[in-house]
Amino acid sequence: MSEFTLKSSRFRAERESSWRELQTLVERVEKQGLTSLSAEELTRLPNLYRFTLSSLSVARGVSLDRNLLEYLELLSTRAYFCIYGVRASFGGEIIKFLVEDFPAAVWQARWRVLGTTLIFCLAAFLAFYLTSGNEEWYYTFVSDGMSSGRTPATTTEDLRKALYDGADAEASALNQFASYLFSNNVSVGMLSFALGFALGVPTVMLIFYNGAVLGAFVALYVGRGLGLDIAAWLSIHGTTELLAIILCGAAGLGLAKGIISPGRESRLANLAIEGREAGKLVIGCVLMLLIAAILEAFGRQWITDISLRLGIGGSMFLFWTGYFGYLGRKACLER
Amino acid sequence: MSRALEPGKVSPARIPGSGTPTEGKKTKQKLDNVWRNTVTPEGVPVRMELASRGDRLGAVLIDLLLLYGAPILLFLTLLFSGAFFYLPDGENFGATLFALIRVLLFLWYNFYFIFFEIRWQGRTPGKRLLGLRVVDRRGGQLTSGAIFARNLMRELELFLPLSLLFVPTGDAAQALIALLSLVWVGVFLCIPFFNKDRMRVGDMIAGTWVVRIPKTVLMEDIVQSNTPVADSKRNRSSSSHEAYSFTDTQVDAYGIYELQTLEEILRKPAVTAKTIQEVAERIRKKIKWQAEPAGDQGINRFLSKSSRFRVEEDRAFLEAYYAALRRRLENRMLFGQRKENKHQKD
Repeated sequence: MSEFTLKSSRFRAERESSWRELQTLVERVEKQGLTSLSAEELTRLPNLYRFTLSSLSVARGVSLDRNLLEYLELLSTRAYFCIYGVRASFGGEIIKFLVEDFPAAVWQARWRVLGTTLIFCLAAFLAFYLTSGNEEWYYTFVSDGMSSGRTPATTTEDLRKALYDGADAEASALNQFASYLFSNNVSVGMLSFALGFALGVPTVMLIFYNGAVLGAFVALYVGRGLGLDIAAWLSIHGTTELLAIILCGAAGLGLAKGIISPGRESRLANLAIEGREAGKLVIGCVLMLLIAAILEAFGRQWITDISLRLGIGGSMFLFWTGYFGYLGRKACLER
Repeated sequence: MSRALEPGKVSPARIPGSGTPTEGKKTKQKLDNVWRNTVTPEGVPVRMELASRGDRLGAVLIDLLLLYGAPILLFLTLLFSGAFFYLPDGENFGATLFALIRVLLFLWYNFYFIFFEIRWQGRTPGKRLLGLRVVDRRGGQLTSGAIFARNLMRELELFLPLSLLFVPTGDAAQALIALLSLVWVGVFLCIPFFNKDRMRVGDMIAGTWVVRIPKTVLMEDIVQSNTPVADSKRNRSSSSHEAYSFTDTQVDAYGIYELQTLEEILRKPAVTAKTIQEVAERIRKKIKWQAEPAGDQGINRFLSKSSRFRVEEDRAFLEAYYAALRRRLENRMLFGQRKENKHQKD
């Protein structure tokens, strides 16, 4: 019988038990996660993986058994993911993201953020200028649904009331208000990022439109001599919310840049690099928008003192600048 | 770009049947080549198969079913189990609960894919069921940034079109706007059909692709299983096995492609007796196989009327020829000569 034993069959017989051992380990990791392995098994996993990988290399040279080759290849691939695809934990990943990835991504995109801010401010100025000159322009920029009754036709007294109303509102109503604001804002943010794929044109339009609404709104109040009031009303949540929307827009422009001017890399590769950074930006913005929604719903309704509103808004702004400017820059330099 | 990104670079030697030097076949193969090479940090290239578009659609449908079905199911069970009766009274509490549920639902709808892909290393429940996996295109680690990016794009590719389907179309203008946006979004939906890597927009911006990693079973070695075992049927086939001996010209008739096709036939459980017979007949003809001398095969001749025995014999012949052919080809491979198929001249 021995004359029929091939070299490749002998090769297989000698190593098969180790492959099967790796297979059971890999199957367990895939089903129950890496934590299901004991300490001993955990140290065995990389060894078995390397052993199987070297078996694969040898098998390609000596064996023509296709089932064997395919088995080894897939087993190696699966083990490869068990070993190299693993991350510490979902929570650990989140902390690393907050301390390093997100601020670094913002710092890296700082010029784009500045550009988006400029577009936003330009739109706001334009709308402000036009609406100040002629209040009819207000209707062009602000749709009916958005103004919720705050139009040039409204009396000054009502406008003022809209800014300070709700001081006696119940927490329950505000809860709902906050969750509504949050999901709404996040949808806008995500969309302005995703639209960046269409060469960024819709993103710019969205940012421009948002800026125009703000400008027209401010113009309406300033025209009635409520300038400081509206500034305080906006700043308490606006410093966080508008920053997040601008960051999302900047992320969208990052995608557009990846497609339009890929630089040294190929278009597709560059898009992948830009996309990952932009993705981090947007996820961070979701968190910022959550904070903004809480500030907007609770802080703005309960705190009606102008200086306190301005103080909170200003300190939030300082916090974000420090977070991105210091932590982000540091994380960027460390890379 | 790294070599992992060049699909054409897959060593042709490892794709069965790719050795044919004819031009036409090669270009055809380039078009539907689904194999992608990745080099592990140990320096060993590993092949992965791109997931088919149908599989990916199936996975997303399963995920959507879970995404929308799970909250409804949870709500219904809570409703029927009567858990709502135990809630404390009060307007305030109800509204807070409602707001909380709203945020939770929002998180569930928006972070379902992200959560599972981080947690299960590139697999959602749907992908897991179908054996699919998101993989970094360059063979590196699948970072959270990539997972965020590819799933945020779903907003545009999946959820926006879905919500457009339910847009109120009261008058003609609204309907027209809805239609136009659907067409525009449809462009994004079709992108996986227009690139050879089957990437959707999310995959493009994240630098990923989706591969199929099926479960494989290591089957018994065909050659090895010929060693005598207690099973009587096996015994007979292995005893007749030794009776076969092939000359060098006979085992040089075929190449690796034919060897592996033969392997497939021998390994498939559902191969009919007719196929076995035909293949055996074909090989016998090709290698000009002479029937064994009648003297020592008397009992075989006696049994030859039984078709079951004929199949048994054919199978034994194929296994023997497989062993001889593999031995020959493997030996030649050790000396650096790969004979890819029967057309290749020495």
